[in-house]
Amino acid sequence: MRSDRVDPADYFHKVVDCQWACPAHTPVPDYIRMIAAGRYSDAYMVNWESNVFPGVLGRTCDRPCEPACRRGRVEAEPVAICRLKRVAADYKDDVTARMPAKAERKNGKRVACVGAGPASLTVARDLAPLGYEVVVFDSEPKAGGMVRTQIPKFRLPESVIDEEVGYVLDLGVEFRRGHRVESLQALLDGGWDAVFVGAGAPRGRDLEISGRKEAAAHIHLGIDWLANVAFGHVTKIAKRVIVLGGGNTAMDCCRSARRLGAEDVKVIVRSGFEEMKASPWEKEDAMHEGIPILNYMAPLQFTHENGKLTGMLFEKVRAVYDEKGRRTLVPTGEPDVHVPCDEVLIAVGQENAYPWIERDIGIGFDKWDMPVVDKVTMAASLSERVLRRRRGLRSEEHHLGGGARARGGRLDRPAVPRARPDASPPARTHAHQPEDGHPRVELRQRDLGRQALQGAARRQQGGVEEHQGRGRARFRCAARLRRGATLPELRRRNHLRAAAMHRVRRLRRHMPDGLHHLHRRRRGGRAARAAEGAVDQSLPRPLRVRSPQDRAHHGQGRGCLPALRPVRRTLPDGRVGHAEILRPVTASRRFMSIHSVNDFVVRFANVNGSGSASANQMFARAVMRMGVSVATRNIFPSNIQGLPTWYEVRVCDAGWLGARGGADLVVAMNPQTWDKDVASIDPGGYLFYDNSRTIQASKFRDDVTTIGVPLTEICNREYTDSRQRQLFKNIVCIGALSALLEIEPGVVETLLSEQFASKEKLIAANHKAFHIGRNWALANLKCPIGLTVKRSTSIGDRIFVEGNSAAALGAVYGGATVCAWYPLTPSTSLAEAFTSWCKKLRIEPQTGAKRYAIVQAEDELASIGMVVGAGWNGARAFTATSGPGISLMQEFLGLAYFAEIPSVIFNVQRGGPSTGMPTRTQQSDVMSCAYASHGDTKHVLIFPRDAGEAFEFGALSFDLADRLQTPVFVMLDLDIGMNHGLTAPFKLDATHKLDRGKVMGHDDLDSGLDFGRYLDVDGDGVPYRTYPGTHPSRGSYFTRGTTRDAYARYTEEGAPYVANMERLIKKFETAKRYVPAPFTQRAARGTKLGVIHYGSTAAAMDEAATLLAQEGVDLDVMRVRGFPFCDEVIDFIDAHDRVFVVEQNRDAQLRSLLLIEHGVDPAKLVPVLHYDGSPITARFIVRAISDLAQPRIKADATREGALS
Amino acid sequence: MTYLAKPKFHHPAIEANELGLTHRDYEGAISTLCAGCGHDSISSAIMQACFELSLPPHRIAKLSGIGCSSKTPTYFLGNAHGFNSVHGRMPSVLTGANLANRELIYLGVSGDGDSASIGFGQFAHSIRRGVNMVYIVANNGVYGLTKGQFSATADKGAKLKKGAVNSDSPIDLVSMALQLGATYVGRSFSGDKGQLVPLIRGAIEHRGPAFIDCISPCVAFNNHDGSTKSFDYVRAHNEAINALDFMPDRAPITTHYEPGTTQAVRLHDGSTILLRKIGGDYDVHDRRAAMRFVSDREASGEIVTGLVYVESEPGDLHGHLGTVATPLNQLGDAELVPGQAALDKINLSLR
Repeated sequence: MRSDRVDPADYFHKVVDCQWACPAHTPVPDYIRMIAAGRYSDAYMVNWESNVFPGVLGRTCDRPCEPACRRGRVEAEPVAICRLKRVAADYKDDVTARMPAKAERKNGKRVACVGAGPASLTVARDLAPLGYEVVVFDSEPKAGGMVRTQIPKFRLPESVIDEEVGYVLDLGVEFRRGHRVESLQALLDGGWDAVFVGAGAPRGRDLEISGRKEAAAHIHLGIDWLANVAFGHVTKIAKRVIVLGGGNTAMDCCRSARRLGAEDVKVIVRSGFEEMKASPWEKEDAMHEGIPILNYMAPLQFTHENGKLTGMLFEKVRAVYDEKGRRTLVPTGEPDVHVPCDEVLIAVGQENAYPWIERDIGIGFDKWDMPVVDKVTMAASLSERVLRRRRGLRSEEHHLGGGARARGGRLDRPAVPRARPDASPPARTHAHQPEDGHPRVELRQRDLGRQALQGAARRQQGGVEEHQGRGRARFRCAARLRRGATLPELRRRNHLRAAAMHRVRRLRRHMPDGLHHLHRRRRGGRAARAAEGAVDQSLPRPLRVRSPQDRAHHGQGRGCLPALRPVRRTLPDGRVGHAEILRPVTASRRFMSIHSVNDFVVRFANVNGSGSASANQMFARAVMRMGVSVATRNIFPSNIQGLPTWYEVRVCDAGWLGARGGADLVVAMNPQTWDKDVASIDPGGYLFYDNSRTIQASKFRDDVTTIGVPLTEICNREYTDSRQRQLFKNIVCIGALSALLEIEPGVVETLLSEQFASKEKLIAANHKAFHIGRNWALANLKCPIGLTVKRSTSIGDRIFVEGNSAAALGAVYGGATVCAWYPLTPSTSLAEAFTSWCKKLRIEPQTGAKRYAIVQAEDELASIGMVVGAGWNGARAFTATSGPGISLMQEFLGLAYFAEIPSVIFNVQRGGPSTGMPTRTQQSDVMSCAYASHGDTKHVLIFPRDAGEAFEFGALSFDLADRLQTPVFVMLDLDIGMNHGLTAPFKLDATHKLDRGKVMGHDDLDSGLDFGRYLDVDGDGVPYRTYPGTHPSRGSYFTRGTTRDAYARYTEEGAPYVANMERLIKKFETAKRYVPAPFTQRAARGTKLGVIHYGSTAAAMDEAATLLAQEGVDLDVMRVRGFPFCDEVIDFIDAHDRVFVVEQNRDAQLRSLLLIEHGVDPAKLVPVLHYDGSPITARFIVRAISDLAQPRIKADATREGALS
Repeated sequence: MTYLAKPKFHHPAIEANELGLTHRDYEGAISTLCAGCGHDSISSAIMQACFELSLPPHRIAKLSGIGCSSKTPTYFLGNAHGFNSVHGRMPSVLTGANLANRELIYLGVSGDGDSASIGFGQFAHSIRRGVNMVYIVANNGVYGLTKGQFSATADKGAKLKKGAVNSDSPIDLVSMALQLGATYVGRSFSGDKGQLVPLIRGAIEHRGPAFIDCISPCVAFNNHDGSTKSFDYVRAHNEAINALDFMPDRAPITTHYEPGTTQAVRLHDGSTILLRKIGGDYDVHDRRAAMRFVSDREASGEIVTGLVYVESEPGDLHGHLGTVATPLNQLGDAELVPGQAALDKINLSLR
């Protein structure tokens, strides 16, 4: 579909059946959704934009939408679309403030509207705010046309008409009341730029049959009679009434007659009941009121006695259809029927009447005596010939006003005041006239809030008076503003072609939701809160500087809307988009942009599988190469392709490596998460996005600088291959960012060259893509933005590495030769990194054979089994796993503990329990590892803080395992393991030597030394072991998980069992000497407050401690690095009054370990817990501790998870 | 069997093998299994085979899981390291041990509960990985240590002593091993030591995953009428496909058979197994034919015993992984720790 050939608005309309069926194309689903959310005012405004009279239509519309409703296909009844309009109208708040403002400047064009019915008022509404001088002529004293005169008050209270007509007239429309247009020529002589004829079909069709003249006093034309009823001229009616006709007018007549006191009212129609023109519900309502509908009766004559009507004679007919399906009514031959009555109301149709249009002024009339008009524009032939010279109106406006809209505002009947010879007295108001029951029943059934009901009641009481003085208000309506005001502005600037303008307008109808959203945020206050509902309350309030300029320049109610403005953008297919022009001058006037050098957070929002990861990392590396510290975090879903991922780069020259929270610049490349991403920007921040596709204005924030770069468009232009388009888009994006953030291009070029060192061709191509993006930004955007990268030296000689990779390298340096593993996020990359490190570092040079064995096991049971088997046989073996794997390994871990088999487990922790948050971080396996397996078990844990320690501890763990002959857990987590982080360069202790622990070799055994596998020779609880196959006759033993004596002989005696268990505890004590000692950082001043933390919490804790010190909260901070806890840990707790234990799990697991193992007073250890799957931030810790550090803290505050 | 310790004393003329070891040097602790248990016969066959092969006992690692069968390693090869691991997980421990030191002989002893039920997965994966081992399943169709519940190899329709009838389909470990790629597959009967010993000898000499399913009646719980794993039943339905004569490479083949009735199977160390064909024209090198044959015989209610399949040129896990010839557990710091220079280079690449 070419959008310039087919109106995209029509296309979308057609998808939504009800909206397509509606002549005004009201976005039905939109407003129903708003009603569902309790946003009645918003729903009303959506309607108002589209059909001008929601309150009127909600009562009287012919509802073509409902037969089209798709629910009708699956349910008996369609959605009550029409009545929901009324719901919106009745329950809305005061919307006067949301109405467009009067045009501040007139544009000098004058438009006359004939008739003050909905058609003319719609034209007036659309044109008046644009600066046209609109004059509406009507013979009636009040505007509203037939809506006011012919529709009974019980169906449509006058207060509703007053309100909605009032909204239009208050736009600065001149209403010439009581001014009947008698001659078009005379009107045209008035020098109008355009004349709109909205006179409708004001004449009721008569029934010229025998007796009509004679009994004229008792026979009335339905619409006239209804008007007389409306104005109070008719207040009574005879007892027996016949209503002729099957349309809605007939229904109104019969029901009105009933209300005036008629006892016997009959509706008599020529056609069958089914073919009647009246809406089914109107027929139902009539019959509900005891009015029979007699069908297939053709009126023959009025019977009368001396002018006094006695009844009517009818011929019985039946419908006969010819082969073409045309119907004729033929007499059935049955005897004619006489129906006695006293009065007859004729409602058999209406006719247009243009007696006031001179037939000689050039307007053609067709065979039905109707003016000939253009089918599309509805412009009369005169306008083509005569008016063109005079009017300044552009055709599209004429179209908008007189064409679709006039037809769109279709009511039950064409609603235009009719010419009535008898001038009517001032109308009574019927504001309090009760309405019929139908809609009210429906409303009561809805569970509406008290507030809404009260609001409705207040409005009803207010009546007409409520609207007085409305015109004095300074109207500001975001919806109307954005739409109504932009049109003239666009036109003034000559930025839009006429056709495009029309399209813009219609397209806008599809995005009212967001417009209202903007409005709500601006309004603030009670109404806004009530309306917001689901809107995230934590959205930062815009920082806005109000100034007089806000209004004057933009005029016509644009007010202080965002720096965005729609202008023409030459999209490839000629579409219209927003101009996302960076306008720093405007921007700074509206809010304070963030300005920061080398200290900000950039968040990339991507779709996984789109190839963005390496480009994002290149961005981080580029910052690093400029000597600036960065911390990166990869947030990704448990999914391979298509779901959202985020990559966060914290540029921080101060060197803080924890997650900060928030974002200063969001690179929003994923429409799926757009809202969330935009919301995550700190006020004053920046939004970078691909503006190749138009994004609704409502999707932006007005306190954020928006930077649009047409990445897709650029790539589509530059590349033909779809894969290239995708991949290079990422590089083009980096190019643009480099310009915006002042990243040196040479740095990125070097990185690209390094990355593609093996593929020469790709280097040039990537350089090109980079510069395309960079040059576009330099040419089209104001560079740099407030965030800039400046060369620094803060990075020092640190390296940038992933924790899993570092731990794997540690395993290589720790002498691991056997790795058995099972794929499990987030540990998989550890085993894979081990494989690649080994390929580089562990190949026997002479033979190319491998000095390692890596087996991908069938499950975690097998992987730990292999580790145990290899450990038993004297190889250094490990597995890498995560929480679920630990669960599966429990039995083997007990065996390894009890049979004392060295083994190393890298546990890259993720969010539990169960599958939990498989791709998010937590420190929630502390307990399950410390006490893994059944029976009395305790395991050695070590807690690295980052990649650097992951390497160090990775190597150390194998020495520990061999020394202690027990499983050793290296407690990594996803945050450390799967994110690149800065850390000091890897360094090997010069004296580094693998410590194999207590192993007796062949010679030891041969020398006659006593060997008992579980004999505590040295008093440290650690026995000696032998490798299988060492000595032909000595040193062999049987390994089992069953009880045994010190010589590994099977025994079920109690004493040896207890002795063995005691020795194991002794061994655990010994472990305190070997596990890494805690690391303590004392506050500058002496303090009684302490903090204990461990692992990946360290990055945020370092920063938090500094920030807290600045706040005046002094803390001694201890980082625990191993379990069992050294005495130092207990001394630290003893030395402080209160110790915060900061960790990333719900159950305060390390705190529990401290309580269990050392009997610390629980009141002393205050948990600070963060466990939502995201890495803990300094912001969080600072807030939690500064709250808790208050003296009022409750001793029992044990759960702070809610803080997250 | 007995609580009396066996005296160390033995007859001076007791037979010794090439290492000067007597069969007493291959014994282990006194068995604590029931008198008459088929498993003891298997232990005995293992000892006999190791004795005949003159293997130094300490170069053997015997591993097992949990159960009656898994207790047996205690009762043979007392000078070998043994590992009584976790129920059903012997294969993984054996795999890990094998990775650590490729030079030892790995003898995995398991039972039908251990291998066909709880450890079915590990059994399958150790076979398909091609771990160089002898995997013997002492198969009696019941759980002995928990007093006589059906195991996964119990035949459909078999009755327990107390009358319960098995309604589940049995797992045939020989068929499984064939399918999973074992390169040496045999079945035997603990009551037929003449067949079992050479079968074990062949398995030890075979370099690759060698699997022996040894039907071993449980005298306590599964030796009654209605059992399909009783001595009587197995004897009645035993269909030996070949008889094995183990020929050390040095010994000349002295026995003579009718031409066409023997098949010589050469082992990697140059020794030979001579198979005397009994069951017609059966080729032990044809895996698919073997699978078909086993299932055909099975369907007709016969228990196929003998060497079912052997691959002439087997490979093993170490070969697949390309590990060094030196056992990994003997590599020193020099081979394992790349040193600071390599680390400096790595550091450089990470900036």
